[in-house]
Amino acid sequence: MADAVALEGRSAGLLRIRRPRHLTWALWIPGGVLILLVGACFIGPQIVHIPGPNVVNLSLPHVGLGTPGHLLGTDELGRDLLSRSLYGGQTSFEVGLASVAIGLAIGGLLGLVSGFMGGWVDSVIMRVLDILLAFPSLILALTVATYLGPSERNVIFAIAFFTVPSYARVARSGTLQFKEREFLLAGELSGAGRTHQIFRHVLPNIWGRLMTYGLLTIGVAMIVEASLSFLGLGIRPPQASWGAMIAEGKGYLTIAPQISLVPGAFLFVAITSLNMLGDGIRARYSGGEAW
Amino acid sequence: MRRFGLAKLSMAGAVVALVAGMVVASGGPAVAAKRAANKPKSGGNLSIGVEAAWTTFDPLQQNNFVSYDVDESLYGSLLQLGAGGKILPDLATSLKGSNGDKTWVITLRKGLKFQDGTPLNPAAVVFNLERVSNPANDCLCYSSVEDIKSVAATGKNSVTVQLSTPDSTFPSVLAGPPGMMVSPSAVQSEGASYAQHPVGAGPFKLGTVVPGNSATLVRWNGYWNKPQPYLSSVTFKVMTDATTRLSSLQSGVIQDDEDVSPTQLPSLQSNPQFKVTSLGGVGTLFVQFQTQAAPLNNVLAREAITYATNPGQINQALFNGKYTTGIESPWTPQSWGYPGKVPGYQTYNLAKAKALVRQLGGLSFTLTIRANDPIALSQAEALQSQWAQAGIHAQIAVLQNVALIQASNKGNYQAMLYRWAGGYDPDANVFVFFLSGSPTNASQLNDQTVDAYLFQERAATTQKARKKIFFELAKQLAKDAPRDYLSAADWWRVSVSTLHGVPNLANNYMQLAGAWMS
Repeated sequence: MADAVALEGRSAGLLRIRRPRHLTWALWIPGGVLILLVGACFIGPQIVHIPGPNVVNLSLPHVGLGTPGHLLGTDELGRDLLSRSLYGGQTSFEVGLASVAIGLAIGGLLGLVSGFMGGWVDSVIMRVLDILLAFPSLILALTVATYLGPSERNVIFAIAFFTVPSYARVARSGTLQFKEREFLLAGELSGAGRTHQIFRHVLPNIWGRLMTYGLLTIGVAMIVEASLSFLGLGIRPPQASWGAMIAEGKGYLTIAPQISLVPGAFLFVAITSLNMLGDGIRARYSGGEAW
Repeated sequence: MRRFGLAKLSMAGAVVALVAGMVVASGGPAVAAKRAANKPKSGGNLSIGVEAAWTTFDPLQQNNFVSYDVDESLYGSLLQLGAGGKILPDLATSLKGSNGDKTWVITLRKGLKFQDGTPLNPAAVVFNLERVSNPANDCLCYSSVEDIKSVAATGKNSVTVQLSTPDSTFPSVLAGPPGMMVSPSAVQSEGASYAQHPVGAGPFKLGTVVPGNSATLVRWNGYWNKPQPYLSSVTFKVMTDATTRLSSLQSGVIQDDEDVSPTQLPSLQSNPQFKVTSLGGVGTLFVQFQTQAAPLNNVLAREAITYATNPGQINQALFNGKYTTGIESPWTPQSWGYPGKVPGYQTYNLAKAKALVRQLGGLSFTLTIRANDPIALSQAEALQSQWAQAGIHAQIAVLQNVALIQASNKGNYQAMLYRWAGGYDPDANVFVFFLSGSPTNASQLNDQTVDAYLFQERAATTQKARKKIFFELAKQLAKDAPRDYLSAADWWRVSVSTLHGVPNLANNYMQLAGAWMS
């Protein structure tokens, strides 16, 4: 299979490899769940009539699941938990996707340049990123979030910041793998510039593994957002996110566990689906190569 | 024979009756066993879950009730606060006022020593009182001792304090941080690092400390009140989150949770393993305003916020109505200074709030709360929603507890959700908080009328006269509106049922000299 990949390697687009059909379920089940979840979070509140996520009703605090008008109950301030979970999901997905996009763009670019150029450029970029990698990721995100202050935008930056080195590593290893391949040699002989080689020939071939890694780290980013919100450094209240909701329900676990459990269940399903999807894609498209 | 027999029987009966009588008189075997069970036992290690870290171990910078708990165990105090606010002897056996409460004579207990072996004598007391009343030492308690004009050792065991103004609250002052005696030789030898190596004359001495995490105090065998202390050690474990404290108590990591939320009570009250103590409260929970910085330097803005606050509704929704609401002054119904309804206070009135906001052309500010405190966050969000109904826009910001207290004392905030554990003497809830220029005047209120009332109440000698002044002070404070009162700072403490001998104080201060485990 490795030989097939090498022979079919081409200068634009992903490698064509034989797809093992028995893995299809591993893509469709988590993919379907994710589509449903993202659709529910972003489109659901537009088509189904539910109270606003921040509408406080102090006369109806922490009612249980199945209460008329509040399918998933309410929190300690009488806010609808279904509504807050859906809007909170928007925040969590936004943070996950945006931080991964930023981390992937910067880290991917650094890794491509580093791997392709080699020499002192590679050494400088990689040593700087090694220093960042040496810090525990949550501590790094905490430091950045504390410095920038709590807001959704700052949480995105904080998470993106700590994901840059790992994307750079993935991009660099992929670049090194393709650097000596025939099609790049052919491009070089035909006078293609470095920028052209990197973006037209190398990037398309490592794009798949970067995307897969990105998919897996969306889940990580969502968990980090939850952790930051749990520690009071995430989004600003009363904006909802799953992490912030879990944290806020902590004080009422003994009398109204649903305040934490409902967003916890949403987060669990989202993270599990993202991880399964990432694993599925890797297994399906890696074609037996080590990613 | 018969007579003898009868006599013998009578005698035997009398002996049985006498023994039975003695047994009954002594309460019987059950009571005897109970008495034995109630007799304090030495030994045992107590771990207490506390909601915040102490800033230092030096009474100079004592700024929260957790610091008081730790310092009280390390230092003791000249006088001690007893249940109901009664002032009791401790390191001092008596304190006598004369000259219209301007001259006070402290009589020290004989033979006292500090934990470093140096004597706690009148010279040490003079050193301490001069230390706290010297503005250069920057004591957070300075406002309460700035009236000290001179201190002199006037006998083998007596110290005379001259005040510049009459002060009937001086006994309460000596039952707080200024009465905690530090070892002069330790202060001199340790210098700036004294706060990390405290030496007092209390029941426990400092053992191991993990900064911001835990402090273990170990029994000091030289304590004056033998056989106290009974416990071998006390560990204060910082657990800012109420849920963590509760689960730590249930799993046996700690034996006492110093601050339990009313929402957690149902799971504990039915469990015989635990003892729930409702302490009440002499302090208050409030939103304090920075009165010298825009936008809340405008009294109309502060009034609008207070009018828009409905404390009863928040209490009902979040705490099942467990807290005492209807508070309109710095005092609660448990304090003898409590004035009840205060004329001029901005009791909830949404229409008035809306009108004021219209007059102001809108109102936006930041409300700062303690981090990692879901209950405070819920309260802040509830306030945010109530204020929004009046057109007031509040943003919520969080700060770690120590940073929150520092921001409060320095006035680096706009509005802040704050709690004061309270003092039994009503003066403790106002003097240092509203006197112009006081280091703990967090609202930075600067009102000469308030200052005048504060000095008058200290000078008044009868409770009746002082209560009258407190009422006038409450009315003046209502005009200034430096605070929006939410409730009394009521406390619930939960410990394992085997912990005994801790006095129940309404300000939740812990005195551990007499604590023991069965």
